[in-house]
Amino acid sequence: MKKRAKILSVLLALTMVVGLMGGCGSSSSTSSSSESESSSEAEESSTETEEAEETASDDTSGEEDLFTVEVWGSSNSQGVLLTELIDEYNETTGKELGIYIDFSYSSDIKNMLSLAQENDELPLIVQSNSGITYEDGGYNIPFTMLPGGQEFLDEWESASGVAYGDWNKFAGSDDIYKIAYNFGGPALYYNEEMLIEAGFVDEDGNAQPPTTWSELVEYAEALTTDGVYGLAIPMQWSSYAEYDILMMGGGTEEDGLFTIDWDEQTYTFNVTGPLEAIKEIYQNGYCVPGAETIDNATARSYFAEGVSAMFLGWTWDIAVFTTTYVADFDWDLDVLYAEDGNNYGMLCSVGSWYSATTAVLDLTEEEQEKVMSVIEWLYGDEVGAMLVEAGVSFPLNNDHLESADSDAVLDQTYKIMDLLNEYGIMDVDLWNAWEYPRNYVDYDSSGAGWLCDNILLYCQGEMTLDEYITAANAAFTQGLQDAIADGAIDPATYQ
Amino acid sequence: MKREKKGKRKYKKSVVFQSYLVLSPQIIGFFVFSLYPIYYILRYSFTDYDGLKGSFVGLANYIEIFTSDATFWNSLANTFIITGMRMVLMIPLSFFLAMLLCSKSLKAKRLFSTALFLPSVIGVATTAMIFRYIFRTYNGLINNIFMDLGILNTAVNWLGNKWTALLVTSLMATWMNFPIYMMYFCGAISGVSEDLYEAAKIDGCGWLRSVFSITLPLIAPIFKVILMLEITGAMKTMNTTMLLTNGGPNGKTNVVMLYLYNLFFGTTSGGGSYTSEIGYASAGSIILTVIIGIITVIYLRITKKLDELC
Repeated sequence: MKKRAKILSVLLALTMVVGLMGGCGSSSSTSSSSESESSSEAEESSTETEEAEETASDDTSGEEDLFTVEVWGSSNSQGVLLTELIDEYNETTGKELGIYIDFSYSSDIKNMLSLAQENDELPLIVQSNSGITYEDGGYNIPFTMLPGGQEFLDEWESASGVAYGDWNKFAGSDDIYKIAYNFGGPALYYNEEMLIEAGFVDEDGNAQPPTTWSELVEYAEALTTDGVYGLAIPMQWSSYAEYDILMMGGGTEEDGLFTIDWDEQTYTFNVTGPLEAIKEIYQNGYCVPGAETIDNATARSYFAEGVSAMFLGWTWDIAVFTTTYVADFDWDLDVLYAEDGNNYGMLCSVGSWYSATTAVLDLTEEEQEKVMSVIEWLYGDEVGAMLVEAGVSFPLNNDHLESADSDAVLDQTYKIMDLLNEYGIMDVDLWNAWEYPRNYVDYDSSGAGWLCDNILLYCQGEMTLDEYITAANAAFTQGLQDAIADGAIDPATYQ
Repeated sequence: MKREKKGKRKYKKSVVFQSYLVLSPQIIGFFVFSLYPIYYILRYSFTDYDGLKGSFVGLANYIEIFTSDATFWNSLANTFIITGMRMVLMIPLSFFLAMLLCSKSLKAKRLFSTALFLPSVIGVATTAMIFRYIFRTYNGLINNIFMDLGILNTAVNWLGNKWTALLVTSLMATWMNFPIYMMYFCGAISGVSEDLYEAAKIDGCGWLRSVFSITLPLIAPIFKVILMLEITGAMKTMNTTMLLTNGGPNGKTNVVMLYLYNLFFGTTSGGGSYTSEIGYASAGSIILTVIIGIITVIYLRITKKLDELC
């Protein structure tokens, strides 16, 4: 009996120890995680996470004689759709060509790439919304280093309908490492029925949205009635202050959203109109109460439910209001113009780049051709048309729009394309002058970001407009200087 | 005789050996999951390690925390506030419900026990969703009820104001954790002899008097442990704040563990990219550990002195 008890206790102890040891030190897998807000999240609010798998480029993934092409994406909105399309590709075209696409996406791709580069485990193709991901890390190779790369570039440039060449280049380089895929920009969404009911109509009786920030305040006041508010302001969303308020506030080169003195390396914000408008709306209660705790998903849901008559969003929100938070009423979008001669224009930026990484250089020529064929497929009409139909892509390649089923394409997509053709794409140097410093702005908070948190202080009266602008200038000046010191931006480009 | 002694020694050795064997997973776990990470945290605290690379910086991290990191001390202050609020809410509530549960006259005791224990088994994310809905400014349950009853004229921004947000965080933590403490109290109260209450009743002692004169003194040892667990637990709280307010608005409800967590796993820069400051966060963790240790020591000394006085 004693012997049995001894044996049993030894076995039990060993089992528990083995179990403990087996739990830790499992094979490493890079993962990025972010906490979920308790309210449901739509895309671009970076709550989706996917585990990035490290595979050597010549691994096969459960299929014999298939070459695995690892692709990392960053776009949550496109990621879900691409996953389905890639699964189909793997079952059909991929098998014929001997290719298996291993696709995963995450909003934290920049850090993932840094980690992968440190461990020499880069994927073969990267899709990102930010050119900075590439320029900081040196992860990529020009297309011309791939077999058929030059032909691909020639074909793409002839198909594209918009001149955006500079967006494809890194500062100081003429090589093409990335190709702009689509564009996006801030937009004002409005409930047509509410606007008509409130008397905001044009000569034809159609809803007439506000066209300036001053008008936005008037509209918000008029539309705030029992249980309905003019606007939903998502102060918890880090991009709100930057993109929806400040970027919509103006952006011509002369008067500009901001001014940079490249000699002194100082940064000066010029935008005040939108800030004052938002404050007036906030303080007078023309926005849904509790703005401080509302994130972008909640604000979208308020618009879709008819709680707010207007919503300051981004072009990709047309997919949100047709699939995720379905707006069951007539709605449309337009742009806002700042006053004082700051012409808004369609301050849109270009995004979604596919690029081959330095890991491709270790492959044989045959394998490199396969990588190139995947890149061509990703940039091709099939993928492009699907993303256009889903409302998550506003393509720079007209062939994508023409290949899409016109019955499936939203009317708002065509409107956005018209706006693009009317206003053009933002100058890439202007975009970079904005993008680089903001990534270096030092801000120790888990909150919504420097601009957003301080806009809240301003709206609550704890900061005057001058104090806000002064503090923003100081923070972004430091960010600019840090970016220059880090080599992320070259002042010579702008001087 | 000699054989007997030898046999007894052998038996004792075997029992001791088996005991160590059974304890070994716990001991190994302690070394692997507690001591080893603590060693690494201590090591990192003297570096500027960011997850990829780092170099030795000596006491720079500690000096920065003590001299120029207002966010750390503000979040620590918020942590103390939440700890205080939780204690005021949690302990009396748990004790009172435990008294009711242990009451002889309560029918369907099992049903009440189960129902009261449910909050502790519901996941924290679900609880946060519930509380966000209840305390939402627009169309929130509490605002709707209070406005319908005429107690409020306009909706209160519960999660948008520092003090109300801290209160809601404390309420949520109380709701989640009171069942555990209630069970501890139940166990302690059950151990008090019924004869004492009967004798007190004969002497004309009321219910309230018997609670203060009999129940509380006799469960004092357990009470002290519960109080200490609550203090140390509240000091390490993070999930409730993270899910309810994420430290906002403007970091006004940030607690120290959430602040350190964000430093470990990446804070947002102005552009939304994440940078980890593992070295710095490690130093913050060590400082927090020392602070909690000091509080615990002070608490134990105070309770010891009170015991001596009594």
